[in-house]
Amino acid sequence: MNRHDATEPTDAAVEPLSGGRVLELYFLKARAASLDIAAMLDRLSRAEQSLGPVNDERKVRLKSALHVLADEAGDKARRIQEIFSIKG
Amino acid sequence: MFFIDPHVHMVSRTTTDYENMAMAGVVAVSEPAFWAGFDRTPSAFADYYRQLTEFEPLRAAQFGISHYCWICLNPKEAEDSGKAREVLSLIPQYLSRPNVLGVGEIGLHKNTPNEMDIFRRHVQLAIDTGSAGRHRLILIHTPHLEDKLRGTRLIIDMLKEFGSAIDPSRVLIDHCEEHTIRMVKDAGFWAGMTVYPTTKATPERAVDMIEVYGSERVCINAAADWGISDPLWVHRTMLEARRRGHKLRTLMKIFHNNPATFFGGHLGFAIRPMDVVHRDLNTD
Ligand SMILES: [Zn+2]
Repeated sequence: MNRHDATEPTDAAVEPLSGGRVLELYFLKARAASLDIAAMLDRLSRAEQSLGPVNDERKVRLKSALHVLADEAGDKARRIQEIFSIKG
Repeated sequence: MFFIDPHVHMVSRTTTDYENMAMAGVVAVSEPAFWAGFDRTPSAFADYYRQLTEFEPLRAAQFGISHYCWICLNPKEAEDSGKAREVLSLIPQYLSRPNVLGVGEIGLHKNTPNEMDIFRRHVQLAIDTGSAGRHRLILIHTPHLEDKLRGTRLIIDMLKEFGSAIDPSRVLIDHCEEHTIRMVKDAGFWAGMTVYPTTKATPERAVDMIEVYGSERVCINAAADWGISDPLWVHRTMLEARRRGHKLRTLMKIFHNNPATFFGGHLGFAIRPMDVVHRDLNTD
């Protein structure tokens, strides 16, 4: 650690973004990401309609992750990471 | 692979973009008149139309790219109807210049009555300045994001008001997405899809739409401009289609032959559709 680091403000000293500012900065990205997921699920269901259903645990994990997105609880990124982690 | 970029705002791109596009197989670009990021005075429009018809063709030609353009007043500048009418009166003298394909990109931005008035005037201008009983080609911008669904419906309804004076096969309605492409194609118009990942389509979603709605009367562009954009998103879309196993003949149709067919409705457009015949390249 050099002397300069000691005088830097810590992250905790940063003013939190307002809700409006968060939406201003990230709404369009999240909107596009939701369309990406929707299009991927449509692609999967078209594939299954023409070639038959696939049994794949990735489908199940994705469904669980989407439930986390829609529920009322917080800490969503950590919970979704756990869904996509090897258990144990 | 050869490409005709059907919608790119080269005035806001560098010469390096022309070089990269030429190296990536782009043989022609079509540049619609658009908003400069700020509202201009009428005399600035005259300069802009000269830039589109005199200067950009020279810049493109250094890289073997044919430059075509479209002339109009962008819907974003239609709110001041006095100025809009003044600019409209300038337009006819530019429409007959050799690299001008037609009237565009007209359309709507916030779907206001003034925008609708100027849209109808542009359509009438395309009809009045046509020849041999055919109106000039028309290129249409549909609104962004939350205004797109309503705006696209309004545009189709306004075009229908002109009855048989408008031939849908001579009109391209651009920036279609999943919720608007069907109504555009069902009404017989050409549909443009724009790969501009944050606010419009992505390569994956554009290829999905081709798979669902077919490759007839469809063009893909990146509408590259002064925003966060890149003309080579067109090529990324080609690559996405190729990775999914689409054949070279289909790719040539979407990225070269479809624009050549639509633009070929203007007699001055010199590039003809081409066929892929190499037996070993999985062309069927
Ligand atoms: Zn544009």
